[in-house]
Amino acid sequence: MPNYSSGRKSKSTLKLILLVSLIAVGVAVYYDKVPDIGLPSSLPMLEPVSDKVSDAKPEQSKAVRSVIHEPEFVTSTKLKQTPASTPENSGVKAIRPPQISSQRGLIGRETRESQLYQSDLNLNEEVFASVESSTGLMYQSTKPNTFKKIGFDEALSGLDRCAWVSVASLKSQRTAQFFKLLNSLYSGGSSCQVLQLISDAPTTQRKGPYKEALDQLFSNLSKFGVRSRRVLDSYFMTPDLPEQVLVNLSTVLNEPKLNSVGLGDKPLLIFVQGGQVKNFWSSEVQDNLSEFANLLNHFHE
Amino acid sequence: MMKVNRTMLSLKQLICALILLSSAQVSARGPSIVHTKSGRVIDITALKAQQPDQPLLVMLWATHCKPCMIEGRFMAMISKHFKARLHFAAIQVDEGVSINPASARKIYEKLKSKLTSYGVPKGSILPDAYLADYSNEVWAELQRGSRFNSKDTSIPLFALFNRDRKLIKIWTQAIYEDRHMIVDFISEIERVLHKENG
Repeated sequence: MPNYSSGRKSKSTLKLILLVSLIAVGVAVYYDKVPDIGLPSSLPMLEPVSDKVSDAKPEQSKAVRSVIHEPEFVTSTKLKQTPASTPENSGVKAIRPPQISSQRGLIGRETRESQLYQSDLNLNEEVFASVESSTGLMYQSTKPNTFKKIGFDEALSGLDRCAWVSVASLKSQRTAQFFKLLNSLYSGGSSCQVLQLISDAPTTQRKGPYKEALDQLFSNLSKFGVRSRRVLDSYFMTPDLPEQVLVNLSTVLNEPKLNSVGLGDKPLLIFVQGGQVKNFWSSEVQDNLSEFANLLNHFHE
Repeated sequence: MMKVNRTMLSLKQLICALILLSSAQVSARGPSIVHTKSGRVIDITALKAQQPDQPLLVMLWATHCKPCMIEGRFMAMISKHFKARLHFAAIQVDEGVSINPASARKIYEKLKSKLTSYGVPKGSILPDAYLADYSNEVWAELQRGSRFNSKDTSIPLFALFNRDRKLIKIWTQAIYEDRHMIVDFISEIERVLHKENG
């Protein structure tokens, strides 16, 4: 005969649990008591991010995206702020994101941070304009489409160990061939710092024309089989003519010979070691194997 | 009558032997190529026999091959520097181009202007440029008798021969792409020249 006593016991326990649960739910509904998760009652209603982005103009949303992915842009330019262009006196109020801990709040923070970056982006134009240097100015880019105004002296500071500094005109037909040479030389890496100075850049405060100019350069480079942007990973654009760039370099590197090279728009490659110019070659180095071998030897130093 | 028949037979044998001999001679000769500048037609065997006192560097290329055209300036520098010590021959292997003296000279003119657009200075155009129609035959002939038996006919292709026309080294890719490749290429030429000249 089967033993049903344990089955009956477990059924009665189940009924008891159900009853207790029903009572608990009933009590909760009666008092309308929702567990407190720490959400402030005074939190303003924030619009969903998706709505914000779709309402914005295409360029605006692109700018917002770019600053989110490239926070260094803001950080680096903030370091360059001068007293004349602080947020207080430039008329742009810095927005601080509220301290919100809920998931909903995080979305809101992202939106507000985007607004903050947007404000900083506008501010940067003014900060750039206030940068001054006795040795000329350049626009530095370490990432495509990201520019920062910087003085020659600052750009070339810290070349204590060794560096390759190239000067090429954006408008010269020799430039693409020259960058092909640089691409070949830098292949396999270089233990020295690499700086590409591109002269004849557009004279503008906006980055759009710079991007167009670079796209044109990359289009020319593709003819010479330079497909990657590796050769231009770290470059500086300047509206100065190549002669002026050499004058500036001559001053910063304390090398009078650079001032009197007289190359016209021929590209130039300079080898700097211990803060001193050790040697320099024009693009004509590709026509003389002895000079070319001399240049190659510097890559083994 | 019998005598006539025997004479005829020996005559036929002689003709057959002559035909066989001439065909054997033809097969020993390489595919014909045209010197683009002068329009002179020679074959690979004759090309290899030129300037036997100097090592030989052969480059296979084509005008439709962009990396080959980029190599132009580098090769112009190499040929200029080793002018008196190294015989350099660039064989253009644009397939489907009929090779004859007239077409070769026209192609040479086109080549000059195209090389200039790739930054090769005027006056330094490769002096010994040849035109061939089939790269496979040319490449097979260049490798004949050597330990190399590469079927890779991708261009640009470089082959370095010593004075005995023994194939020393081949490069089956663009040299001017990579610093280490450039160093290896120049070093190998200098090594062969040093060895040959004692």
